[in-house]
Amino acid sequence: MLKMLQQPALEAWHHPSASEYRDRIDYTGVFIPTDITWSVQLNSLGAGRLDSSSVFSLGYAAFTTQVQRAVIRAFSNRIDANVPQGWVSHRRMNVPASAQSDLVLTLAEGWRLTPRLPTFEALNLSLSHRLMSIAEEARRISAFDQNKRAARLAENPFVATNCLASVTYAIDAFESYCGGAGGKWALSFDELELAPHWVREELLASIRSVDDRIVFKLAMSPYNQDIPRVDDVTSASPDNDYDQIVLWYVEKEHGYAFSEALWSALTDKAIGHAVPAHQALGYGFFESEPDEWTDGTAYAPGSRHAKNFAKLWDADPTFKEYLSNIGIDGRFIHEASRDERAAVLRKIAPVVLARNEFRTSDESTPSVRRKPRIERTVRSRKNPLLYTGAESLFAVTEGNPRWLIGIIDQLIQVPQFKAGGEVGRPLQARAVSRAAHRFAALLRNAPLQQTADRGVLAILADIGSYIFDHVVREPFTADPVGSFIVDSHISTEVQHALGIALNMGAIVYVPDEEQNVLIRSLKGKRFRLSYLLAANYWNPIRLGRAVSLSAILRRASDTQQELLPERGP
Amino acid sequence: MDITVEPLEPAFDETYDVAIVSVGYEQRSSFLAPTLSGDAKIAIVFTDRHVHSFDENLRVIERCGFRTVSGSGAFVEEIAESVRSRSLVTPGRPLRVAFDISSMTRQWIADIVCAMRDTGVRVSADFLYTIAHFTAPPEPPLTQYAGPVTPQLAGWDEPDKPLSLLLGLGYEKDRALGAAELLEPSELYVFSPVSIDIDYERALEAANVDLWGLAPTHTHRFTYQISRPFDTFVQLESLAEGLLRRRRVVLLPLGPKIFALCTVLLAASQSAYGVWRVSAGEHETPVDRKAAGTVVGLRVQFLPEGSAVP
Repeated sequence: MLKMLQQPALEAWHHPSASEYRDRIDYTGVFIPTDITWSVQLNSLGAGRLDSSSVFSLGYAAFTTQVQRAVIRAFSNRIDANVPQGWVSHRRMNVPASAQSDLVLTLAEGWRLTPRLPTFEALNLSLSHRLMSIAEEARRISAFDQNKRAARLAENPFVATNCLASVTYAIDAFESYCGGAGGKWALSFDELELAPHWVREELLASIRSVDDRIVFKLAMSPYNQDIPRVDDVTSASPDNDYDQIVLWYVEKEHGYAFSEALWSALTDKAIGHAVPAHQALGYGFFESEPDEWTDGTAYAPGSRHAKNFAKLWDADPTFKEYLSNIGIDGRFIHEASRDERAAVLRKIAPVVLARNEFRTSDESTPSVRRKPRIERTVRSRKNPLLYTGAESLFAVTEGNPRWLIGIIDQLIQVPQFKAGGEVGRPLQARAVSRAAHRFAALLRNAPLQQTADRGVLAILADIGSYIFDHVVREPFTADPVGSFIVDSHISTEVQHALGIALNMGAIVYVPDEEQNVLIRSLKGKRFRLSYLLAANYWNPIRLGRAVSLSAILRRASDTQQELLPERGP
Repeated sequence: MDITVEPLEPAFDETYDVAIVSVGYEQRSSFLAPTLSGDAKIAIVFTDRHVHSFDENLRVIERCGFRTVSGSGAFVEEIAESVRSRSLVTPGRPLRVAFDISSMTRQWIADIVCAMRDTGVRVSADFLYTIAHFTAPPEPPLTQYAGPVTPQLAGWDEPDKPLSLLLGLGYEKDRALGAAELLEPSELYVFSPVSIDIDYERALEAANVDLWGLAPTHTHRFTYQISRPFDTFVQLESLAEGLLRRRRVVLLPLGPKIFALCTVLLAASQSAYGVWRVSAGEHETPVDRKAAGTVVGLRVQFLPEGSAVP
């Protein structure tokens, strides 16, 4: 996402709202990518034969070089007079060639580089060379003793360079030769959770202390043990020093607009015009507009919801008992009052749907309930259709563009879509199932602490199964469990595994109003399963009541003794 | 140090100065030991999972005159030292060393290749691999590690280049898919081993069925013959070289160790490439793989800088 804030991306962006957004961007984006391989490469400098201090010194130099390359790219874009065809010029400056050369020479001098020519390309090549020489230097000094190593590093001019000071210097130089005094530069770091911890520490510590021409945009997963404590007065604090922008959606509806826009853009790209999501995908089963419940279309005799309620009324005595106790007849929900419809029926509709879908009709009868759990049955659904339709697809992909694109790419290939019709529900269900399976494969292979005896996916499966049992197998309740709180009885191994799950998007943090969205510990925090996994464990797509995680895991442990066959991926 | 990889037709009458094998729970780990000559013979012994054929392997290997060293100790230094000291009595010709990598871990293979690269001694090494009969894949255990196969082969390249992953397939269910999802490459090059065993190929296909839908337009599928490692090396080398100018290259060798050897040799001679492994470590379920009788290999010349090619 931060990539999109770079000048070339903004200029190349074609969208009805593009001009409006471009106008609002009063800074130059300087994008610094991070990924897992680069992070381990930094940590592997010296191939395990260097002391940690030397690894840090050389790693920091490499990081500084990477930031300097990004700054050079941004400078070069600002003063490039050639706007590619079809692009809209944004924040470009007209700078004479002599001033550009002077800028390059000044940067080279300050950054201790010797480009062959006074051009940005040559300067960039010098930085590439420096990057390579850092790895060579690490190999070389790994054969030295500690004292010789320290002396050698001290001789290297770039090792001592402070990263952000070098950026400030560059901005000063840019203003001197190109103008634009006081302009802002947004250093944008993506996927910071993957970066070495000292990179995060440096950036988080710098937020309140550096030049006000520099804006930090730091994208990272919510959980990190090295996030500054909120009660540490020396650290930057939310609201005062930085704004937190939550990029996940606790309530599924909040992500729909983004997902719909992405759907439109991708269908437009595929066939030359945007197709409304409802036209191609139909409506989600879990959904109905709030107005439908009050205005009378959702519950009318013969409507989808009316049929669902009547079906469960007949099949599930505990549901019948629940509705009877509040004075509603499940076969005639249209007779319920307007308030009852909005407050009660709408709330329980997803649970009714899940129970109808997955429950055998006699599940609640005393004779079945007396049976051991293993002997009770649920309906077999390889790819349940329940998670299809526009809203459900948007919900299960959680507003994650990578997930959504993965599913949309499959759906727009099918003949029904190309013919302008609705993509078959089984095809949609299979696409969701595939996406969930891929995600499960990632989680199954997530590296854990050596002491862990259970994987991330196994823990999540326990949570999913618990919710499924509560929603489908147990006697009907209007407010079944749908989320969990990590309580004090949870082991550090499980917390570590859940930290991985959170940062991979497998669980979603549900903060209270006043809670910081960046967290150092999971304890006492509430989470829900990602809806992509909910589809895997046949959970309704809803944020349900919370229960302590230890209660879930205790139950799972008891259940395992009953040898319940594994369900899900 | 220059590294030159050559084809090899393994012959049982080959004479070596140094022979290195491993002792593990797979029956095939002692298959080659009786055929390997050498003035110095070293067997690296796994310190965990002494099950299946481990005891018998140890008996065979000790009877063949191998000196055992612990797999958890500094055995790589010991091997390197042995190579250096033997080279002193073989002046004028490269030291002949045999490595039976069949049951070695990927990390051991990587550490050994790096050690040979860094000894400063002219070495002509035969890396030998015994193909095993098919055994059904075990239940996938918990992953304990995902990262460079050894810090020496973490790779080093410009981080703003897009990532290409060259992935060797194994038959562990969804491990390749999970690894690809973890690294999020912009392009995926998948290498499927072609075996003479149809059961193996079926297991391979079943374990990776969902990999193909990951990003079809950015996934490129190749096959390689387990029995023709030199061809595999050349194939990998030319692909990686072609990618290097515009992309970072990471190699992730799941599946047969002979493919892992190819990736390690490639990265040992080009520091930009990284080689990763995804492993359950000691939690990997032990499977008793039995030698099928076919041995394949690569001959690798490690030449100190400035020395002439023999």
